[in-house]
Amino acid sequence: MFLINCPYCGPREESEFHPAGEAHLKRPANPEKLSDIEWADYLFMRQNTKGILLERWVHRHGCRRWFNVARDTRTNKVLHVYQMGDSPPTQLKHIKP
Amino acid sequence: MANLYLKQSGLAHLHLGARALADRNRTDPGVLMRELPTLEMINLRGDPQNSYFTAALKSVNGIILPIIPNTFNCVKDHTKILWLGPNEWLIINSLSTKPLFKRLCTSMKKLHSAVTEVGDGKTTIRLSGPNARQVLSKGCSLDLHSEEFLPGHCAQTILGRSDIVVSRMPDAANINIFDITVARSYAAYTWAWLEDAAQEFESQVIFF
Ligand SMILES: [Zn+2]
Repeated sequence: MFLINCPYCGPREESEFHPAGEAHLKRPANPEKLSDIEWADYLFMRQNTKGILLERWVHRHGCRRWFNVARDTRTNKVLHVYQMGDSPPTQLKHIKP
Repeated sequence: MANLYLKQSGLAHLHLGARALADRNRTDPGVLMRELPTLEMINLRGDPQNSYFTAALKSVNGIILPIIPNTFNCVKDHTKILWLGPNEWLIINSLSTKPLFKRLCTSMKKLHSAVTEVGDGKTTIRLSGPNARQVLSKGCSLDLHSEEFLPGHCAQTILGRSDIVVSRMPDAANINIFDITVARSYAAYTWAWLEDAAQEFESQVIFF
């Protein structure tokens, strides 16, 4: 069983959750000033990290809240879970959000 | 709310009354199954830190919100308030003569909150008996051990392929009582799933 610790409900089975890709993406402040390449970069380009990745997940079949997860994509190990709006834990600060 | 004369349970087409009649002489059933139809259900959202919000709720039938995740509170034995999220609750009222919705709306006026009637879209199946826990465990990943999932605990989770809200009712006789609230469109599926899972324990349908 692969458990994920929902910051609201506690540990639940992974099938209750849904991943939604890289976290901490910043929408450009002035999209109209961007070139097509810069805009496409914001929309589509992701890091595809092999290692620790900061992701967004949603507890879809539980409390339906969104939160952030630090997961090692090599081992599928969830290292940390934190709420939306919070910054990643200090020990993971070196990871480029 | 649908007009009362049009109101039908989500499982009306299964004719559980007739099934209960056929099952009435069953001895030592491991699992008892019944529907708790047409309960008033209200989804409530608001800030539990806001004392105006909590005071307004208290003024309606003495409702107190559960703040501990995955738990529910009872008002007497007819109203349950289930924790769904940090700012979301499900109120289930079985007293059809005293609906809460309008009173809640009135008390919530001018407060940042949302009161939504959701009962017509759901139904509740009550599973009890010595083997009820084993039946649920076949399709639910929660730890339902009787010392882990206690009376007063609830959870939004998955049973089989359907989203449910499950709560364990307080029971003096120490028989497990689980209430499973499910979307009306999934009610027949969930009932059939439970019945199949309960087959090895001899289930009995009850109807009031
Ligand atoms: Zn959750």
